[in-house]
Amino acid sequence: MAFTSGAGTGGQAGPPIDLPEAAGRRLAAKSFSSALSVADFAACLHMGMRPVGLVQGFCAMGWNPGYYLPSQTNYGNQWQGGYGTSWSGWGNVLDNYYCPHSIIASAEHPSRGYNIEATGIEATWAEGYNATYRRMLEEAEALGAHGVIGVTDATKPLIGPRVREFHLLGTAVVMDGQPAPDRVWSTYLAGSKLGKLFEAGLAPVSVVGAFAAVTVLPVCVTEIQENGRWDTYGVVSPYGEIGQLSDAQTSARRLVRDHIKSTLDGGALHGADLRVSEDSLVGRTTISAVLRGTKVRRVRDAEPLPQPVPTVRLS
Amino acid sequence: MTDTSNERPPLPTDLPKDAGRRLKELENGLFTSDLSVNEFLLIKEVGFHPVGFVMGSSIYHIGLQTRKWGSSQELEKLTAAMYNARELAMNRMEEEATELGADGVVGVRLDVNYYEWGNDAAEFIAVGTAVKAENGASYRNKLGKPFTSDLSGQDFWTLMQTGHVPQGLVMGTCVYHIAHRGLGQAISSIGQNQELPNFTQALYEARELAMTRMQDEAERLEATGIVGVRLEEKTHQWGSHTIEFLSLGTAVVKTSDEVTLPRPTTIISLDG
Amino acid sequence: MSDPDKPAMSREELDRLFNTPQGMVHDKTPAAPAPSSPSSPPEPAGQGGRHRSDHHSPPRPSSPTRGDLHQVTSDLTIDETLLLHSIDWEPVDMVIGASVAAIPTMGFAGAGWAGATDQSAQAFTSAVASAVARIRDDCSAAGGVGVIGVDVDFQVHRHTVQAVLVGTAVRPAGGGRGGHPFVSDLTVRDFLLLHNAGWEPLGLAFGASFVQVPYRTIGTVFKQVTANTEMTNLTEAMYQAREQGMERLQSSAIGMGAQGVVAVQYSDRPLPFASHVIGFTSWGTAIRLSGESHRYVKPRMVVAMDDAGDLFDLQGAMGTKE
Repeated sequence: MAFTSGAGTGGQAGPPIDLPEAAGRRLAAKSFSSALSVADFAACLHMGMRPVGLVQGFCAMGWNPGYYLPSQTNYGNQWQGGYGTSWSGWGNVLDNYYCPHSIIASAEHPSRGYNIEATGIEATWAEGYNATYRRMLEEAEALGAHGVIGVTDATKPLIGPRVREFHLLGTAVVMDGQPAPDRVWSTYLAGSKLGKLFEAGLAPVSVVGAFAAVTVLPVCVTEIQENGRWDTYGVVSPYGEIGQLSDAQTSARRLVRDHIKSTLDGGALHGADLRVSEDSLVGRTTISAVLRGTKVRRVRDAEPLPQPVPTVRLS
Repeated sequence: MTDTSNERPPLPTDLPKDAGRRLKELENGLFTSDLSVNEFLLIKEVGFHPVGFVMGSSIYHIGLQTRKWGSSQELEKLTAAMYNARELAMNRMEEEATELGADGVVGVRLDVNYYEWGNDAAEFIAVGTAVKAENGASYRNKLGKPFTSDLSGQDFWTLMQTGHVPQGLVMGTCVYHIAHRGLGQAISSIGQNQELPNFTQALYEARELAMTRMQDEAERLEATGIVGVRLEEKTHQWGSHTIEFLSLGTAVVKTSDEVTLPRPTTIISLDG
Repeated sequence: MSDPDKPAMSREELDRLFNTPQGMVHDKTPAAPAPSSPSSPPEPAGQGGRHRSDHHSPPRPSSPTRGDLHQVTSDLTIDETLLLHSIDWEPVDMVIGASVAAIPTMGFAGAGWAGATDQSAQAFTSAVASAVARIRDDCSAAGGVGVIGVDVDFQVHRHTVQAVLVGTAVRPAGGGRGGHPFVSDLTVRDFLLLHNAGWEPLGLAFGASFVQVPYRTIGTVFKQVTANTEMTNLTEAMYQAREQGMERLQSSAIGMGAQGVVAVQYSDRPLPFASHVIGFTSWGTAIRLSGESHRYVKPRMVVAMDDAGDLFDLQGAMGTKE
């Protein structure tokens, strides 16, 4: 019976101090637990990986995007003022939009519009995700694992919108007869999908996640179009594209892609999963995008797969 | 422990009379099962035969436990209730399977139903298909009971190819009350974007407790491990601050080092 | 691959995979310059792992031709990646195009003003056209020759319609022709099957039309209360709008020089702000023969033993039983 090595390393090393007490007891147990489906479990044994335990990381973060907002007094003017507006903590201005009408700006007729990357809340997200990832890895190390496979990510609001929980869960594995890698690798893939990744000449490095948020402070024409009104000055077509919103929708998605690229260190992101949501943040539309995937590196040249056999199912 | 005498032992007292009659009818060779045709064929493929559809039920009154508004804690009484009720339903299902002389139960589903007529009462149900080895060998678990598992027929077939045999459906549960944030805390931290260590600790602890208990059950079965663990979160009818964390999986034991999975053929389906 | 007794990957191979220090495999090629860093400052929005990334020397890209995954972000599954490789194509990057266009409600205020429905269809078309243009630019910037697996997402809000396209830019391994990238919502599997049969995608064909369903007069309602009768004016209006939407789809395909449109999807729903206005949208991938004639795929018949629909995945997981 070979499924015991997790106990040795886990028991001696003890869990790192920021893990809960029950984690230590669980990780020191003699049997393994795994969140793998049976098919994944079978494929995993087939590849010479032995599951040693279920590992998880968890973090609850305060979540209040409005916290970084520049002073909300004199709301309209400050945002429209352009010069002297302090965006520090709140974000980077991605694009500026100007009023095409020759009239004086007012709170009802904003003459400047901005698409702003909300870097403050992006940093909060990264902090939560990183802490969660680190804890999961600590649990895996306590088991003496080589890698974590089949990671699932359950990040969601907890007890109301002001708290957000970050939760990663995966199955730690050991490759018997192998020296431990420099650091524990992790992947969202498991089973035959992971096997196929190896066949493609790639090896997983780590699960990665990134978050981007873009807040729209609309210029007059954006407001007019967005609210289905006609431009009484006759400058913009009521049926046309709304440039500022199109840019915001596009840049939120491209930003999150760029963020994740900055963590790849030349590796590649496999199986990217993009989720976008839109909410009203202090009365302004904010587009949030989350991108997740497995960072992989190439370990040998890919040999193209032979053409698969086309089949038709008889049922 | 396995009963080998020809004399039928009396029906366990906690099964209803109709169960005895239904199970007796199944002795003449008829079987019932909720397996699909594919699952049926795959279970035959690894040398098992379905003997009957089995179930167990328990209507349980869930007690009350006062919670402190401002502190996070496990509600042991509720944990015990959720645990015992499921255990009762599972036991009855196992007893039905034992009646049929089964080696195990596959495709087990555990459900909780609430009815309008019963405040604080819930029905816990376990259903599955009892199976028996065709070669007469016993596949019962270390406790001499039929194994239980939530594996589908396909999963059962696959697991057998890896030299593992299921031992039992194992679970762990933990009902946890999460503190409301106190006034002082609210003022100091509301609106800030930082980790809330109290919340982190509480929920982390609750999940670990559920998983530890599941693992303890597996150790009792002398299992080598648990596959297919699912971690479920349910608030039932307790409001958003009281959450049940339930982890469920199938404990397995390794019987052979041989992995007999054939090499897969790569195909591309034209079925749309 | 064809030897049924050989395991998917030998232990030795796996050992090598996991224990080859990074950067050793591709030592033959010098490190290529990194692509220009993203214009935005590298905010720490990324993942964990960086806390220990100093354990690794900076990786080197493999040969710049096949299998170069430098900085590739791809939302393909592993099956799709392998399938793409089997026809010697490669993913380049995840690409994005989004556009929002206005639909003013005033046009529908007076019943029966046909102009408004036409202009709303135009708003739809302009959102799609602009999103396609943006994803195309993104694709060209990434060096792809086309975008496949595009996820087409339309959202109709009270005054706006939003089109979001997210897909994977691809190219034949090692580069390929430049020019006008195609945009297609075909999956990699469909792309491969079409490719093998001698067809190529050209672009996303799209058609939208809106219809204002006529109100029934009190008299008509009264007359129809007991009778079984076709409501011909409704039939006519809806039928007409469907035909118009399909016709617009066809003409957009003809405009691309297509010989056909495959995988047409179709949606019809009332606008959120006017229940009497129904919007029809349809889209699909315009294709044309790239070779001289169609090449036949001769499929093999199989009986699946799984209850799930996804045959490809399950075959991989469980193997076939002879």
